[in-house]
Amino acid sequence: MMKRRFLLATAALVATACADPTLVAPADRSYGALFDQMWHETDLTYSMFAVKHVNWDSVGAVYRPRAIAAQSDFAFARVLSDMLGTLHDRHVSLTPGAGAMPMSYVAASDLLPLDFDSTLVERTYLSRRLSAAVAPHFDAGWISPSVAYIRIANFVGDDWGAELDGVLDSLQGASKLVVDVRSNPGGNYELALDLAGRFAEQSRVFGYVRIRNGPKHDDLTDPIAETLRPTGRRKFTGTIYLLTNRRVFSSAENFVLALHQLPNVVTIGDTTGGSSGRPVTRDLSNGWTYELSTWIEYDADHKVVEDAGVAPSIVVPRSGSGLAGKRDAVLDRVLQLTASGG
Amino acid sequence: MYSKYAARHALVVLAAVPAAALAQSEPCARPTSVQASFGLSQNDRADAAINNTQYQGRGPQLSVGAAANVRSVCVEAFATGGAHYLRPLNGGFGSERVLDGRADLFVLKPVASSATNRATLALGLAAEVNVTGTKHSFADGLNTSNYRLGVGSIGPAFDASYRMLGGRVFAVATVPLVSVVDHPYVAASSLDPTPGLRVASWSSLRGGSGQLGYERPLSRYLIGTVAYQVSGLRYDDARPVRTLSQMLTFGFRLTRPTEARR
Repeated sequence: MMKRRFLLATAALVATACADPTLVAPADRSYGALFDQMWHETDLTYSMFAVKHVNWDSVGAVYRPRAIAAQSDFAFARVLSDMLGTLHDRHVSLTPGAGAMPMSYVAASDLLPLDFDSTLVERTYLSRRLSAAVAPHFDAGWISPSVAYIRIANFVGDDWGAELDGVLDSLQGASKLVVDVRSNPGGNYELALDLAGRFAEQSRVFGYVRIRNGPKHDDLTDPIAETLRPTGRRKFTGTIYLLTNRRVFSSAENFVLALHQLPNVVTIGDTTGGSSGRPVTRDLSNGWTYELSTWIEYDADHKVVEDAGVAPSIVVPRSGSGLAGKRDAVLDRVLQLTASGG
Repeated sequence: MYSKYAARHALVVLAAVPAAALAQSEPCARPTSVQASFGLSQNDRADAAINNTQYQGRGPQLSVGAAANVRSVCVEAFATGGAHYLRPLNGGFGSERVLDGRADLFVLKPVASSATNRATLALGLAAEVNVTGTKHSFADGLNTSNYRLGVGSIGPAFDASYRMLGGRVFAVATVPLVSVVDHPYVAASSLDPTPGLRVASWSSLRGGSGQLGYERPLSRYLIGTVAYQVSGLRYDDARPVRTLSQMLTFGFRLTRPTEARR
């Protein structure tokens, strides 16, 4: 009898533990509700309304009727994407379903002809290239007997910063070094700083960020210093030419900001793209996702990086027509400088 | 073999508890002892810092605890932790991996007991710290973000027990009166690793935890326990949080021979 009661009590406890409580109401997946969800979440999360001079209430009032009137998921996605596009922020995008292409903002300057071709550098300028097996994330070699060249195409992934130590080992003997991040779209912030730290001999503050931390548009943290810290085992102490262009974005701009603080670094080329937002992904209740910027980044002089970019020390104007004459004007300028002892 | 060694080792630890403390143990519902239990927990979470969907998952949960009776005050400490894989309810998307840990400290003063100590009631204070780390995988299958929620609370607690069915049925409950909360507004970043602690009173943070169980001596040193624990939280932040954690555990309490009571 006693055992039976005990078993009954245990069974009751098990049954209770398996109950499905309801903590929030199931989501409404109508176009109106999904629109409201995205508009509200963007209102709560996006960090640069003031920088972009956007009245989000007005944007919502304009786009909500269009969202409700959408006749298909595709049309609805276009409305949402157009609404996000009013933020003029490359870090803001909509991905309408797993596997779908993100719908992102494209600035007019992104459509201008490229003034950089990595294959032209490889074909015309680079000799004694390092094997891709030694440095799979870098394109490295020599552009003159004393000037070494390293190209970092992106900062995607983790934990390959130490690869740069091997590259620098292989380029021993160079008196000058070209670090080319042109058309680098960014990637992993921590990785970019890890790589930048391999050129630093001491810690330096290179910028500041303010992170959205409350429901009001101006709820932002106090400026948080971004610090470049030395990493790696080998330092290159000679002159470094850091090549930039308008297609340098995001964590690649963090890399440029960080190296810009080093006394032996000369930035050369064009201003960077001006796109720094530390995006976070958000879910929509229909399985779509979107990304929103959550910080405002400032350079060491407290100037906003977004839209302004990082200007080089030496400007090489873009041709406007791409790679005229099949020469790389920025690399030619570097070779001029190195030949003249600059 | 190993379990025998562990049991002997635990008894040595118990023997080291001051005799004066043990002598005062009778008013407390639980004897001076150490305990370990293992069970299954179910976590339900809805954290608007992540999204507005409820996620649920079950997984193993391990708890350890100790009880000591010091000058007619019952001191009990518990720590529990587990890892869970959470799936969305109501047709939501994405998934979550949750790592949580919780520690409780109860200081209870017996206030009433029947003549034969058949029923006991103790009141006092409980301090609780609960830390949860969540890795959220988004519906796109590509991106993940890390979030955290830390809550430290102090509030009143009660512990009641009743001897029946050859053992003792017990109920323990506590509610947070004042809490300190770390709940980042957006996904955790390497730039803001330090907790942004905020004080929350009952008006913004409501919750409670309770335990209902049964324990019964299995031998002179060993008490078997079965318990159902539940804890809930409702935090009305700019990013509201709702959590409900349920746990069913089976375990053992090791005590000195004289402490194992029927």
